[in-house]
Amino acid sequence: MSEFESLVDEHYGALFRFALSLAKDRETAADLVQQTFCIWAQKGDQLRDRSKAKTWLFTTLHREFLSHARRSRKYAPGEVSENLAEESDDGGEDPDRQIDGQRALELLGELDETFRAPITLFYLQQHSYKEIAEILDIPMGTVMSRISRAKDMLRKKMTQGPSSAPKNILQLEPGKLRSYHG
Amino acid sequence: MDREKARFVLKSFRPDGADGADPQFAEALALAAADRELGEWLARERAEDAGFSAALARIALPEDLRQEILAGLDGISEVAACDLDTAWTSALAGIDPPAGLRDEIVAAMERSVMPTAKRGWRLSRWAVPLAAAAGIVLALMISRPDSNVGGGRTAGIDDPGTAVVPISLTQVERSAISELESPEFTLDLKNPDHETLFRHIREHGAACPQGCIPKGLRDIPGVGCRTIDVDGKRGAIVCFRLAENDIVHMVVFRQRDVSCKLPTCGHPKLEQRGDWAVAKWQEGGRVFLLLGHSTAEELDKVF
Repeated sequence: MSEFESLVDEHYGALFRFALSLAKDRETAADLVQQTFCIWAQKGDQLRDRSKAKTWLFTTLHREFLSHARRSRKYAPGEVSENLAEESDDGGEDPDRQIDGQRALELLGELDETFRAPITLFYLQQHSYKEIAEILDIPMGTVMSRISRAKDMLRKKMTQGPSSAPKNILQLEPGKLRSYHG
Repeated sequence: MDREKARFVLKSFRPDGADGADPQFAEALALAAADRELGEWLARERAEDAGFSAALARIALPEDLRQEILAGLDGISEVAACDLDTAWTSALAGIDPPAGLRDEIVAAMERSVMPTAKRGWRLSRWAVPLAAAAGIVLALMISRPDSNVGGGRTAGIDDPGTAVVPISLTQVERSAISELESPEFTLDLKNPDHETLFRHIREHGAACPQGCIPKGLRDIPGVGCRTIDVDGKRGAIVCFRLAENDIVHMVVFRQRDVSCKLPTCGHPKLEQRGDWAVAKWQEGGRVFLLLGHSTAEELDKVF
Protein backbone atom coordinates (compact mmCIF):
# COMPACT_ATOMS: atom_id res chain seq x y z
CA MET A 1 0.00 0.00 0.00
CA SER A 2 1.40 3.41 -1.00
CA GLU A 3 1.91 6.29 1.41
CA PHE A 4 -0.95 8.08 -0.33
CA GLU A 5 -3.32 5.17 0.16
CA SER A 6 -2.42 4.88 3.82
CA LEU A 7 -2.99 8.58 4.31
CA VAL A 8 -6.34 8.44 2.52
CA ASP A 9 -7.46 5.37 4.46
CA GLU A 10 -6.47 6.90 7.75
CA HIS A 11 -8.18 10.25 7.36
CA TYR A 12 -10.83 10.39 4.63
CA GLY A 13 -13.63 9.22 6.91
CA ALA A 14 -13.11 11.88 9.56
CA LEU A 15 -12.44 14.50 6.91
CA PHE A 16 -15.72 13.63 5.18
CA ARG A 17 -17.69 13.87 8.45
CA PHE A 18 -16.06 17.19 9.26
CA ALA A 19 -16.79 18.45 5.75
CA LEU A 20 -20.38 17.25 6.00
CA SER A 21 -20.93 19.15 9.21
CA LEU A 22 -19.55 22.29 7.58
CA ALA A 23 -21.11 22.08 4.14
CA LYS A 24 -24.34 20.28 5.14
CA ASP A 25 -24.43 18.48 1.83
CA ARG A 26 -22.89 15.06 1.08
CA GLU A 27 -21.85 15.89 -2.46
CA THR A 28 -20.09 19.10 -1.48
CA ALA A 29 -18.50 17.31 1.46
CA ALA A 30 -17.13 14.62 -0.84
CA ASP A 31 -15.80 17.30 -3.19
CA LEU A 32 -14.11 19.09 -0.30
CA VAL A 33 -12.39 15.88 0.77
CA GLN A 34 -11.23 15.13 -2.77
CA GLN A 35 -10.04 18.67 -3.18
CA THR A 36 -8.10 18.44 0.08
CA PHE A 37 -6.26 15.32 -1.05
CA CYS A 38 -5.59 16.89 -4.46
CA ILE A 39 -3.94 19.81 -2.71
CA TRP A 40 -1.98 17.34 -0.60
CA ALA A 41 -0.79 15.62 -3.79
CA GLN A 42 0.37 18.96 -5.14
CA LYS A 43 1.83 20.54 -2.04
CA GLY A 44 2.06 17.91 0.68
CA ASP A 45 5.73 17.27 0.00
CA GLN A 46 6.42 20.77 1.32
CA LEU A 47 5.36 19.58 4.77
CA ARG A 48 8.59 18.60 6.44
CA ASP A 49 7.07 17.17 9.61
CA ARG A 50 5.01 14.23 8.31
CA SER A 51 3.44 13.74 11.72
CA LYS A 52 1.57 16.99 11.05
CA ALA A 53 -0.19 15.52 8.00
CA LYS A 54 -3.49 14.99 9.83
CA THR A 55 -3.64 18.55 11.11
CA TRP A 56 -2.55 19.83 7.69
CA LEU A 57 -5.39 17.96 5.98
CA PHE A 58 -8.06 19.27 8.35
CA THR A 59 -6.65 22.80 8.16
CA THR A 60 -6.68 22.67 4.38
CA LEU A 61 -10.22 21.32 4.24
CA HIS A 62 -11.44 24.04 6.58
CA ARG A 63 -9.73 26.74 4.51
CA GLU A 64 -11.17 25.31 1.31
CA PHE A 65 -14.62 25.34 2.88
CA LEU A 66 -14.27 28.95 4.03
CA SER A 67 -12.96 30.00 0.67
CA HIS A 68 -15.91 28.48 -1.15
CA ALA A 69 -18.43 29.50 1.47
CA ARG A 70 -17.57 33.13 0.92
CA ARG A 71 -18.58 32.76 -2.71
CA SER A 72 -21.65 30.62 -2.36
CA ARG A 73 -25.06 31.05 -0.79
CA LYS A 74 -25.27 27.28 -0.39
CA TYR A 75 -23.57 27.46 2.97
CA ALA A 76 -25.67 30.19 4.53
CA PRO A 77 -25.97 29.56 8.29
CA GLY A 78 -29.06 27.83 9.55
CA GLU A 79 -29.89 25.98 6.37
CA VAL A 80 -29.92 22.23 6.67
CA SER A 81 -30.31 19.87 3.74
CA GLU A 82 -32.37 16.73 3.89
CA ASN A 83 -30.74 13.31 4.02
CA LEU A 84 -27.45 14.67 5.25
CA ALA A 85 -26.43 11.43 6.79
CA GLU A 86 -26.73 7.88 5.71
CA GLU A 87 -26.45 5.65 8.72
CA SER A 88 -24.05 2.75 8.78
CA ASP A 89 -25.09 -0.38 10.66
CA ASP A 90 -22.19 -0.60 13.04
CA GLY A 91 -24.00 0.77 16.07
CA GLY A 92 -23.61 -0.85 19.45
CA GLU A 93 -23.88 2.06 21.84
CA ASP A 94 -26.41 2.13 24.62
CA PRO A 95 -29.66 2.90 22.72
CA ASP A 96 -30.92 5.11 25.54
CA ARG A 97 -27.97 7.37 25.00
CA GLN A 98 -27.96 7.22 21.21
CA ILE A 99 -28.81 9.95 18.83
CA ASP A 100 -28.54 9.15 15.17
CA GLY A 101 -26.08 10.70 12.75
CA GLN A 102 -28.80 12.61 10.91
CA ARG A 103 -29.99 14.23 14.15
CA ALA A 104 -26.41 14.96 15.23
CA LEU A 105 -25.76 16.73 11.95
CA GLU A 106 -29.03 18.63 12.14
CA LEU A 107 -28.11 19.86 15.61
CA LEU A 108 -24.62 20.81 14.51
CA GLY A 109 -26.10 22.49 11.45
CA GLU A 110 -28.15 24.77 13.67
CA LEU A 111 -25.00 26.16 15.24
CA ASP A 112 -23.13 29.07 13.78
CA GLU A 113 -20.02 27.98 11.88
CA THR A 114 -17.95 29.69 14.58
CA PHE A 115 -19.07 26.99 17.02
CA ARG A 116 -19.82 24.19 14.56
CA ALA A 117 -16.23 23.68 13.37
CA PRO A 118 -14.56 23.34 16.80
CA ILE A 119 -17.30 21.20 18.34
CA THR A 120 -17.35 18.85 15.33
CA LEU A 121 -13.58 18.44 15.51
CA PHE A 122 -13.90 17.79 19.23
CA TYR A 123 -16.57 15.10 18.74
CA LEU A 124 -14.61 13.47 15.94
CA GLN A 125 -12.01 12.88 18.68
CA GLN A 126 -9.17 13.08 16.19
CA HIS A 127 -7.63 16.25 17.59
CA SER A 128 -6.76 17.78 20.93
CA TYR A 129 -7.99 21.28 21.64
CA LYS A 130 -4.48 22.52 20.83
CA GLU A 131 -4.65 20.95 17.39
CA ILE A 132 -8.16 22.33 16.87
CA ALA A 133 -6.75 25.77 17.63
CA GLU A 134 -4.10 25.22 14.96
CA ILE A 135 -6.59 23.96 12.39
CA LEU A 136 -9.02 26.82 12.90
CA ASP A 137 -6.26 29.37 13.50
CA ILE A 138 -7.72 30.64 16.76
CA PRO A 139 -6.27 30.80 20.30
CA MET A 140 -6.50 27.71 22.51
CA GLY A 141 -8.57 29.55 25.09
CA THR A 142 -11.06 30.47 22.39
CA VAL A 143 -11.32 26.82 21.35
CA MET A 144 -12.12 25.77 24.92
CA SER A 145 -14.65 28.53 25.26
CA ARG A 146 -16.33 27.66 21.95
CA ILE A 147 -16.44 23.94 22.76
CA SER A 148 -18.00 24.73 26.11
CA ARG A 149 -20.60 27.08 24.67
CA ALA A 150 -21.33 24.81 21.72
CA LYS A 151 -22.02 21.91 24.08
CA ASP A 152 -24.42 24.05 26.08
CA MET A 153 -26.21 25.11 22.91
CA LEU A 154 -26.42 21.55 21.57
CA ARG A 155 -27.84 20.21 24.82
CA LYS A 156 -30.40 22.97 24.93
CA LYS A 157 -31.45 22.16 21.38
CA MET A 158 -31.60 18.44 22.16
CA THR A 159 -34.07 19.06 24.95
CA GLN A 160 -36.16 21.25 22.64
CA GLY A 161 -36.88 18.38 20.22
CA PRO A 162 -36.64 18.22 16.45
CA SER A 163 -35.33 21.21 14.59
CA SER A 164 -37.66 23.72 13.04
CA ALA A 165 -34.92 24.95 10.75
CA PRO A 166 -35.60 25.03 7.02
CA LYS A 167 -35.01 21.61 5.53
CA ASN A 168 -33.79 22.51 2.09
CA ILE A 169 -30.69 24.23 0.88
CA LEU A 170 -31.66 27.43 -0.83
CA GLN A 171 -31.33 27.14 -4.55
CA LEU A 172 -30.25 30.03 -6.72
CA GLU A 173 -33.07 31.41 -8.74
CA PRO A 174 -33.01 30.01 -12.26
CA GLY A 175 -32.23 32.70 -14.77
CA LYS A 176 -30.43 34.83 -12.20
CA LEU A 177 -27.30 34.86 -14.29
CA ARG A 178 -28.87 35.49 -17.62
CA SER A 179 -29.07 39.20 -17.07
CA TYR A 180 -25.26 39.40 -17.00
CA HIS A 181 -25.14 38.37 -20.62
CA GLY A 182 -27.79 40.65 -21.98
CA MET B 1 -8.58 25.85 40.46
CA ASP B 2 -12.19 25.83 41.58
CA ARG B 3 -14.97 23.52 40.49
CA GLU B 4 -16.33 25.85 37.79
CA LYS B 5 -12.91 26.40 36.25
CA ALA B 6 -12.32 22.65 36.28
CA ARG B 7 -15.65 22.06 34.53
CA PHE B 8 -14.75 24.59 31.85
CA VAL B 9 -11.38 22.94 31.23
CA LEU B 10 -12.76 19.39 31.28
CA LYS B 11 -15.39 20.20 28.70
CA SER B 12 -12.52 20.05 26.18
CA PHE B 13 -11.35 16.67 27.48
CA ARG B 14 -12.06 14.10 24.77
CA PRO B 15 -14.44 11.34 25.87
CA ASP B 16 -12.11 8.56 24.70
CA GLY B 17 -9.50 9.74 27.20
CA ALA B 18 -6.98 10.68 24.49
CA ASP B 19 -6.08 13.81 26.47
CA GLY B 20 -5.26 11.86 29.62
CA ALA B 21 -1.55 12.60 29.32
CA ASP B 22 -1.99 16.31 28.58
CA PRO B 23 -0.71 18.25 31.63
CA GLN B 24 -3.24 21.00 30.92
CA PHE B 25 -5.95 18.67 32.23
CA ALA B 26 -3.97 17.21 35.13
CA GLU B 27 -5.11 19.68 37.78
CA ALA B 28 -8.75 19.54 36.74
CA LEU B 29 -8.70 15.73 36.62
CA ALA B 30 -7.10 15.61 40.07
CA LEU B 31 -9.84 17.86 41.38
CA ALA B 32 -12.51 15.63 39.80
CA ALA B 33 -10.93 12.61 41.49
CA ALA B 34 -11.12 14.32 44.87
CA ASP B 35 -14.50 16.06 44.46
CA ARG B 36 -17.34 13.55 44.20
CA GLU B 37 -19.81 15.97 42.64
CA LEU B 38 -17.30 17.08 40.02
CA GLY B 39 -16.36 13.46 39.36
CA GLU B 40 -19.98 12.48 38.76
CA TRP B 41 -20.44 15.47 36.48
CA LEU B 42 -17.35 14.43 34.48
CA ALA B 43 -18.66 10.88 34.10
CA ARG B 44 -21.99 12.18 32.76
CA GLU B 45 -20.23 14.67 30.51
CA ARG B 46 -18.00 12.01 29.00
CA ALA B 47 -20.93 9.65 28.48
CA GLU B 48 -22.91 12.34 26.65
CA ASP B 49 -19.89 13.30 24.59
CA ALA B 50 -19.27 9.66 23.73
CA GLY B 51 -22.89 9.36 22.55
CA PHE B 52 -22.56 12.35 20.25
CA SER B 53 -19.18 11.14 18.97
CA ALA B 54 -20.64 7.72 18.25
CA ALA B 55 -23.50 9.33 16.32
CA LEU B 56 -21.02 11.18 14.11
CA ALA B 57 -18.97 8.03 13.63
CA ARG B 58 -22.09 6.18 12.44
CA ILE B 59 -22.49 8.48 9.46
CA ALA B 60 -21.77 6.28 6.47
CA LEU B 61 -19.20 7.40 3.95
CA PRO B 62 -20.02 7.59 0.24
CA GLU B 63 -19.27 4.13 -1.16
CA ASP B 64 -16.95 5.24 -3.92
CA LEU B 65 -15.30 8.20 -2.19
CA ARG B 66 -12.09 6.35 -1.39
CA GLN B 67 -11.69 5.08 -4.94
CA GLU B 68 -12.46 8.50 -6.39
CA ILE B 69 -9.83 10.14 -4.20
CA LEU B 70 -7.19 7.57 -5.16
CA ALA B 71 -8.13 7.77 -8.85
CA GLY B 72 -7.75 11.53 -8.73
CA LEU B 73 -4.35 11.23 -7.07
CA ASP B 74 -3.20 8.70 -9.71
CA GLY B 75 -4.09 11.17 -12.43
CA ILE B 76 -2.12 13.92 -10.74
CA SER B 77 0.98 11.73 -10.42
CA GLU B 78 0.84 10.65 -14.09
CA VAL B 79 0.34 14.12 -15.51
CA ALA B 80 2.83 15.64 -13.09
CA ALA B 81 5.50 13.21 -14.26
CA CYS B 82 4.72 13.98 -17.90
CA ASP B 83 4.79 17.73 -17.38
CA LEU B 84 7.96 17.46 -15.33
CA ASP B 85 9.72 16.15 -18.46
CA THR B 86 8.40 19.12 -20.42
CA ALA B 87 9.57 21.52 -17.72
CA TRP B 88 13.08 20.09 -17.74
CA THR B 89 13.25 20.18 -21.54
CA SER B 90 12.09 23.80 -21.59
CA ALA B 91 14.51 24.70 -18.82
CA LEU B 92 17.48 23.21 -20.65
CA ALA B 93 16.43 24.90 -23.90
CA GLY B 94 16.23 28.19 -22.05
CA ILE B 95 19.87 28.19 -20.97
CA ASP B 96 21.67 30.80 -23.07
CA PRO B 97 25.31 30.24 -24.01
CA PRO B 98 27.79 32.89 -22.83
CA ALA B 99 27.80 36.07 -24.87
CA GLY B 100 30.52 35.99 -27.51
CA LEU B 101 30.76 32.21 -27.62
CA ARG B 102 29.61 32.04 -31.22
CA ASP B 103 32.22 34.60 -32.31
CA GLU B 104 34.89 32.73 -30.40
CA ILE B 105 34.00 29.50 -32.18
CA VAL B 106 33.89 31.14 -35.61
CA ALA B 107 37.23 32.82 -34.97
CA ALA B 108 38.70 29.52 -33.86
CA MET B 109 37.46 27.78 -36.99
CA GLU B 110 38.99 30.49 -39.15
CA ARG B 111 42.33 29.92 -37.48
CA SER B 112 42.70 26.72 -39.44
CA VAL B 113 46.40 26.64 -38.84
CA MET B 114 45.89 26.27 -35.09
CA PRO B 115 47.51 23.10 -33.71
CA THR B 116 45.14 20.24 -32.73
CA ALA B 117 46.21 20.43 -29.10
CA LYS B 118 45.24 24.10 -28.91
CA ARG B 119 41.74 23.40 -30.31
CA GLY B 120 41.26 20.72 -27.75
CA TRP B 121 42.25 23.12 -24.98
CA ARG B 122 39.75 25.72 -26.26
CA LEU B 123 36.83 23.28 -26.25
CA SER B 124 37.55 22.04 -22.77
CA ARG B 125 37.97 25.61 -21.55
CA TRP B 126 34.32 26.30 -22.49
CA ALA B 127 32.96 22.91 -21.62
CA VAL B 128 33.69 23.34 -17.93
CA PRO B 129 32.06 26.77 -17.41
CA LEU B 130 29.13 25.76 -19.65
CA ALA B 131 28.49 22.65 -17.62
CA ALA B 132 28.85 24.68 -14.44
CA ALA B 133 26.45 27.33 -15.73
CA ALA B 134 23.91 24.68 -16.68
CA GLY B 135 24.26 23.11 -13.27
CA ILE B 136 23.80 26.42 -11.48
CA VAL B 137 20.73 27.32 -13.53
CA LEU B 138 19.18 23.92 -12.94
CA ALA B 139 20.01 24.06 -9.27
CA LEU B 140 18.37 27.47 -9.04
CA MET B 141 15.31 26.14 -10.83
CA ILE B 142 14.97 23.28 -8.43
CA SER B 143 15.62 25.29 -5.31
CA ARG B 144 13.28 28.10 -6.36
CA PRO B 145 9.92 26.54 -7.19
CA ASP B 146 8.47 29.99 -7.79
CA SER B 147 10.94 30.81 -10.53
CA ASN B 148 9.87 31.21 -14.13
CA VAL B 149 11.54 28.66 -16.37
CA GLY B 150 9.60 29.30 -19.57
CA GLY B 151 11.02 32.74 -20.03
CA GLY B 152 8.96 35.69 -21.13
CA ARG B 153 5.48 34.38 -20.34
CA THR B 154 3.21 35.13 -17.43
CA ALA B 155 4.56 34.04 -14.09
CA GLY B 156 2.35 31.37 -12.57
CA ILE B 157 1.35 29.72 -15.84
CA ASP B 158 4.97 28.81 -16.62
CA ASP B 159 5.93 28.55 -13.02
CA PRO B 160 7.21 25.00 -12.43
CA GLY B 161 5.70 25.12 -8.97
CA THR B 162 2.27 25.15 -10.57
CA ALA B 163 2.95 24.24 -14.19
CA VAL B 164 3.95 20.67 -13.43
CA VAL B 165 0.97 20.03 -11.20
CA PRO B 166 -2.42 19.72 -12.85
CA ILE B 167 -5.54 21.04 -11.24
CA SER B 168 -8.48 18.80 -10.42
CA LEU B 169 -11.72 18.72 -12.37
CA THR B 170 -13.47 19.70 -9.15
CA GLN B 171 -11.35 22.87 -9.00
CA VAL B 172 -12.33 23.71 -12.56
CA GLU B 173 -16.00 23.09 -11.91
CA ARG B 174 -16.07 25.04 -8.66
CA SER B 175 -14.19 27.97 -10.13
CA ALA B 176 -16.39 28.07 -13.21
CA ILE B 177 -19.61 28.00 -11.18
CA SER B 178 -18.17 30.56 -8.82
CA GLU B 179 -17.33 32.86 -11.73
CA LEU B 180 -20.73 32.37 -13.34
CA GLU B 181 -22.57 32.99 -10.08
CA SER B 182 -20.55 36.08 -9.25
CA PRO B 183 -22.49 39.33 -9.61
CA GLU B 184 -19.31 40.72 -11.15
CA PHE B 185 -19.24 38.16 -13.93
CA THR B 186 -18.52 39.82 -17.27
CA LEU B 187 -17.50 38.68 -20.72
CA ASP B 188 -14.23 39.83 -22.30
CA LEU B 189 -15.84 39.85 -25.73
CA LYS B 190 -19.48 39.77 -26.82
CA ASN B 191 -19.96 38.45 -30.34
CA PRO B 192 -22.27 35.86 -31.93
CA ASP B 193 -19.61 34.54 -34.30
CA HIS B 194 -17.88 31.42 -33.01
CA GLU B 195 -14.68 31.98 -34.96
CA THR B 196 -14.34 35.53 -33.63
CA LEU B 197 -14.74 34.25 -30.09
CA PHE B 198 -12.26 31.40 -30.60
CA ARG B 199 -9.71 33.76 -32.14
CA HIS B 200 -10.02 36.05 -29.13
CA ILE B 201 -9.43 33.08 -26.80
CA ARG B 202 -6.38 31.91 -28.75
CA GLU B 203 -4.92 35.42 -28.75
CA HIS B 204 -5.20 35.49 -24.96
CA GLY B 205 -3.30 32.23 -24.48
CA ALA B 206 -6.27 30.22 -23.24
CA ALA B 207 -7.36 26.71 -24.20
CA CYS B 208 -9.58 27.02 -27.28
CA PRO B 209 -12.49 24.71 -28.12
CA GLN B 210 -11.27 24.46 -31.72
CA GLY B 211 -13.59 22.04 -33.56
CA CYS B 212 -14.63 20.06 -30.51
CA ILE B 213 -17.98 21.63 -29.66
CA PRO B 214 -21.15 19.54 -29.31
CA LYS B 215 -23.27 19.30 -32.46
CA GLY B 216 -26.19 21.08 -30.77
CA LEU B 217 -24.09 24.22 -30.31
CA ARG B 218 -22.44 24.38 -33.73
CA ASP B 219 -25.17 26.31 -35.50
CA ILE B 220 -26.48 28.53 -32.74
CA PRO B 221 -25.18 32.04 -32.03
CA GLY B 222 -22.52 32.67 -29.46
CA VAL B 223 -23.03 35.26 -26.74
CA GLY B 224 -19.46 35.96 -25.78
CA CYS B 225 -16.36 34.61 -24.13
CA ARG B 226 -13.83 35.26 -21.42
CA THR B 227 -10.68 33.66 -20.07
CA ILE B 228 -10.60 32.01 -16.66
CA ASP B 229 -7.50 31.27 -14.58
CA VAL B 230 -7.54 28.45 -12.05
CA ASP B 231 -4.41 27.97 -9.96
CA GLY B 232 -2.15 29.17 -12.76
CA LYS B 233 -3.93 27.28 -15.57
CA ARG B 234 -5.69 29.33 -18.20
CA GLY B 235 -8.94 28.21 -19.75
CA ALA B 236 -11.91 29.87 -21.37
CA ILE B 237 -15.65 30.22 -20.96
CA VAL B 238 -17.73 30.48 -24.12
CA CYS B 239 -21.41 31.26 -23.80
CA PHE B 240 -24.05 30.17 -26.33
CA ARG B 241 -27.68 31.23 -26.62
CA LEU B 242 -29.84 28.11 -26.95
CA ALA B 243 -33.05 30.15 -26.77
CA GLU B 244 -34.12 33.66 -25.79
CA ASN B 245 -33.62 33.08 -22.06
CA ASP B 246 -31.53 29.97 -22.18
CA ILE B 247 -27.78 30.41 -22.19
CA VAL B 248 -25.27 27.61 -21.72
CA HIS B 249 -21.63 28.07 -20.78
CA MET B 250 -18.84 25.93 -22.17
CA VAL B 251 -15.66 25.84 -20.10
CA VAL B 252 -12.47 24.65 -21.81
CA PHE B 253 -9.09 23.76 -20.34
CA ARG B 254 -6.08 21.96 -21.77
CA GLN B 255 -6.12 18.26 -21.00
CA ARG B 256 -2.58 18.36 -19.59
CA ASP B 257 -3.65 21.04 -17.10
CA VAL B 258 -6.50 19.00 -15.58
CA SER B 259 -6.27 15.68 -13.81
CA CYS B 260 -9.25 13.62 -14.96
CA LYS B 261 -10.45 10.79 -17.15
CA LEU B 262 -13.66 11.62 -19.01
CA PRO B 263 -15.68 10.18 -21.88
CA THR B 264 -15.60 11.77 -25.33
CA CYS B 265 -18.00 14.39 -26.61
CA GLY B 266 -20.80 12.11 -27.80
CA HIS B 267 -21.20 10.53 -24.37
CA PRO B 268 -20.50 13.20 -21.77
CA LYS B 269 -20.62 12.61 -18.04
CA LEU B 270 -23.77 14.35 -16.83
CA GLU B 271 -24.28 15.64 -13.31
CA GLN B 272 -26.55 17.98 -11.40
CA ARG B 273 -24.94 20.60 -9.15
CA GLY B 274 -27.78 22.42 -7.41
CA ASP B 275 -29.66 24.10 -10.21
CA TRP B 276 -26.72 23.69 -12.58
CA ALA B 277 -26.68 20.81 -15.01
CA VAL B 278 -23.10 19.96 -15.90
CA ALA B 279 -21.82 17.86 -18.81
CA LYS B 280 -18.14 16.89 -18.87
CA TRP B 281 -16.07 15.35 -21.64
CA GLN B 282 -12.62 15.45 -23.19
CA GLU B 283 -11.57 15.62 -26.79
CA GLY B 284 -8.67 16.86 -28.90
CA GLY B 285 -6.40 17.47 -25.92
CA ARG B 286 -9.05 19.59 -24.22
CA VAL B 287 -11.30 19.10 -21.19
CA PHE B 288 -14.81 20.53 -21.51
CA LEU B 289 -17.59 21.38 -19.12
CA LEU B 290 -20.96 22.56 -20.34
CA LEU B 291 -23.10 24.25 -17.69
CA GLY B 292 -26.71 25.26 -17.97
CA HIS B 293 -29.61 26.15 -15.72
CA SER B 294 -31.63 23.08 -16.59
CA THR B 295 -31.77 19.39 -15.88
CA ALA B 296 -29.03 17.03 -16.98
CA GLU B 297 -31.54 15.41 -19.37
CA GLU B 298 -32.22 18.78 -21.03
CA LEU B 299 -28.53 19.52 -21.35
CA ASP B 300 -27.90 16.08 -22.85
CA LYS B 301 -29.97 17.13 -25.88
CA VAL B 302 -27.17 19.31 -27.26
CA PHE B 303 -24.90 16.24 -27.67
